[in-house]
Amino acid sequence: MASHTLDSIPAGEPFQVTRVTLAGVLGDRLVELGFTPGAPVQLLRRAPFGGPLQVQVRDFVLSLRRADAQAIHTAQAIPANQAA
Amino acid sequence: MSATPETRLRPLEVALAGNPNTGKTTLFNALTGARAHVGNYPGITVERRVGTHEAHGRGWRVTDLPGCYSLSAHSPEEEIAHHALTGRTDDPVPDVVVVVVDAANLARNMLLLLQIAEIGRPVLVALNMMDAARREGIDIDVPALQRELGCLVVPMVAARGDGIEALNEAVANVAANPALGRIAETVWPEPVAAAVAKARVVLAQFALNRPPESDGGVLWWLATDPEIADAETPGLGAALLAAVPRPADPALDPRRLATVARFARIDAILSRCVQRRIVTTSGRSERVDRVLLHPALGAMLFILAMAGLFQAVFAGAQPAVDIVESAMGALSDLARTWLPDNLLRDVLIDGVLAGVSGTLVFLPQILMLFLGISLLEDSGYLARTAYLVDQLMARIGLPGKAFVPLLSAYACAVPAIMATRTMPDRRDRLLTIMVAPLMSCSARLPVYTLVTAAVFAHQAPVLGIFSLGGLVVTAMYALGFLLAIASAFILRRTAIKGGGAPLLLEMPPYRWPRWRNVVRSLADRAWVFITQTGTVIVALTVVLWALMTFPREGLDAGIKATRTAQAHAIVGEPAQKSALAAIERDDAQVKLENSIAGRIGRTIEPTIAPLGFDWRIGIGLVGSFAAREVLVPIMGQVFGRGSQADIDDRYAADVGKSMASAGALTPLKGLSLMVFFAIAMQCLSTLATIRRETNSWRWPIFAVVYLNSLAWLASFAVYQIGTRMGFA
Repeated sequence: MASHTLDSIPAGEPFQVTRVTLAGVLGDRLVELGFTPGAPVQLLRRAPFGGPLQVQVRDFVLSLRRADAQAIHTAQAIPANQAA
Repeated sequence: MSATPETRLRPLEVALAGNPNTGKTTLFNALTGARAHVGNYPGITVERRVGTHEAHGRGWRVTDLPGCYSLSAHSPEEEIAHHALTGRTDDPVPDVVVVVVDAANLARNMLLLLQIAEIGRPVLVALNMMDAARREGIDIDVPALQRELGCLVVPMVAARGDGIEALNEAVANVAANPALGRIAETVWPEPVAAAVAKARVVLAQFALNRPPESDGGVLWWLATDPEIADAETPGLGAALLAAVPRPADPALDPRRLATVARFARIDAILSRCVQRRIVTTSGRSERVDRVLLHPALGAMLFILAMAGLFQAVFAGAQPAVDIVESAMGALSDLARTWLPDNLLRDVLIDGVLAGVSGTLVFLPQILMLFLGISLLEDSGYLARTAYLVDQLMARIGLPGKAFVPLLSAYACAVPAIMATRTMPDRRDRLLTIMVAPLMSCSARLPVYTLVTAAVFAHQAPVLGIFSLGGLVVTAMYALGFLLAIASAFILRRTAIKGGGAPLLLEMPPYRWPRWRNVVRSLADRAWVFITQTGTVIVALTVVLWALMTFPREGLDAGIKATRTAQAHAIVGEPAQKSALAAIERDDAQVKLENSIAGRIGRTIEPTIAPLGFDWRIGIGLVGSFAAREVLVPIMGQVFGRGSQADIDDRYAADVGKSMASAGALTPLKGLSLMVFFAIAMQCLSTLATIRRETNSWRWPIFAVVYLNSLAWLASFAVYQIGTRMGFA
């Protein structure tokens, strides 16, 4: 399964978090906001001119900068009918 | 007080905890009505809101804890939330913690719930915004959730008051039987359990004031920033880090594994209690975002919204400002006629009343700005503005959330500095506060008018169309902005190191603002400003008044008597009146020149002479410390025009012309004066606001020193280079 960082996935498609590679407090914070392995995640849109990303993790919509999003690795979500 | 057994009980301590944007404040307002008090926690700027409520014959003391996503402390808000729950603040330990949970965002909200339950306080869940969850197609089986968690769950719509009665009862039940408020502790995976055991040993060595009992309590100390742990007990943070080091692979860190374990448990619970009827990727808010965050359309709507906000603060508040000013003017005229003519009257009118007026005059702009901000914030758009401008602001070294405060600083730095409260990171906020006074506020305009009308009005238009005065004023706006960028860059690397917090900003669902919340937050803002900032403004105004008044040496008594006799000899009432007025004016001028401020003006002359200012302007620099526009009437007094309370353009122009004909103002000196005023920190109210918002005198003093040094250097450069280039 190919791994993509959150800043590079196509907008509007369902992915899931695989791992957060950022060490330290900021990484802790991302995990506490719900970026845990397996959590459904979606890139909603990118702000123009290299601005931040609008992201949804579980039911939580937040914005984060592209550099920070690079620390979040994702994989294409497995369709529900195959997951069971 | 009637002495029934119930009322003799001490009030029940109830704390409201929860993520931001869960309607926690709405619930607090619904419970406490108008019986609430806003203040700061001692020593820091986190707001503390306490109110009272009564249910089932028992009084409650309700504390609204700061909203936070997690209890592990990385910010002052989270630290306070934890400390309040464990009795480390001045407040008693809560008997019951009501965790307000957004029903449409259960997973993320329940992390905080588990953490609070872990540290051992009795909890219950206020499952708020059930209506929004239903609209999003989320069905929650409340009895099942209650069973799975083991604590009481009260479904609510706090904004409509739905569920308050059930909440009253649930709180009473938990208070009577704290066992109802327990959630079984998460089963920790082996690495977490091992880390807890190690951390427990370290904590035992440090003999904490209120040592944690549960594993979750120990975990809190482990996951907390070492600095925060060190602040509690020196060396504790480092010792915990040494006992449980952070592994090379952050995914294996027990701190994170604990969070992952909590989420795994939450996901398992929710899979048994929550059904999604419609699996949509695009809720209502996403459809609105498609317009409001559209690259072109969204940008245009953003500019419109911000222009509207700025107009409201800059121009919309003006009628109210005029009313405040004329009311206060009428009040001091009245006081002047009623009170006996003595020093007490003067200190009351020119010190205290002037200070009160100097406080109240800011209220319209503050209310206007906070009306705008609470509408933006409650609707969910404020977080979007930060998303839209983050990249632009990053170029000037500040986060997106600094945009609204800095924009409002063009109207007035006082509400702007208060508006930095919406910024989550302490250092970013401090940095924004420090550069906000560089934005050219409206109080500088009378000074600019004074100079341009006197020395730039009759020059030929530049390129045939641009008036020189207009260009110079525009240049002042640009100068302030560029210096703000440069200062932010330098301060970030010197006095306010670090910061540049990551942008992890919730973009909450769009909601209609609740008028009740808006009005309440405006009232809180106004109250805090009047009582806390206002007292400092009044005190500083009285001090400044004393400097400008004492030792009260006017015209020589003999000269005054001779001139008065001469005036009375003049035939014709108008001529006599004007001669008498001239004596009064000269007397006031001499008094001011002989005052402490006047002496300071003379003493500092050698330091301001290289900027092109003589001692008379020096008096103005001292006096305009009250507020920049005060320069105009002081100069009026010094240059024989008399002072005038209503500083209109014509008066400012007249004073400027008097200064020019006395040789104190030339185009080059005028430019130097404008540059000085564009940069210098001369505003008691701003200083008082910085003091209140940073909770120390250190930062207002720093602002005075750095901005005034910068102003001196810039004016020095202008005047010296200008002189050498042959300008006058």
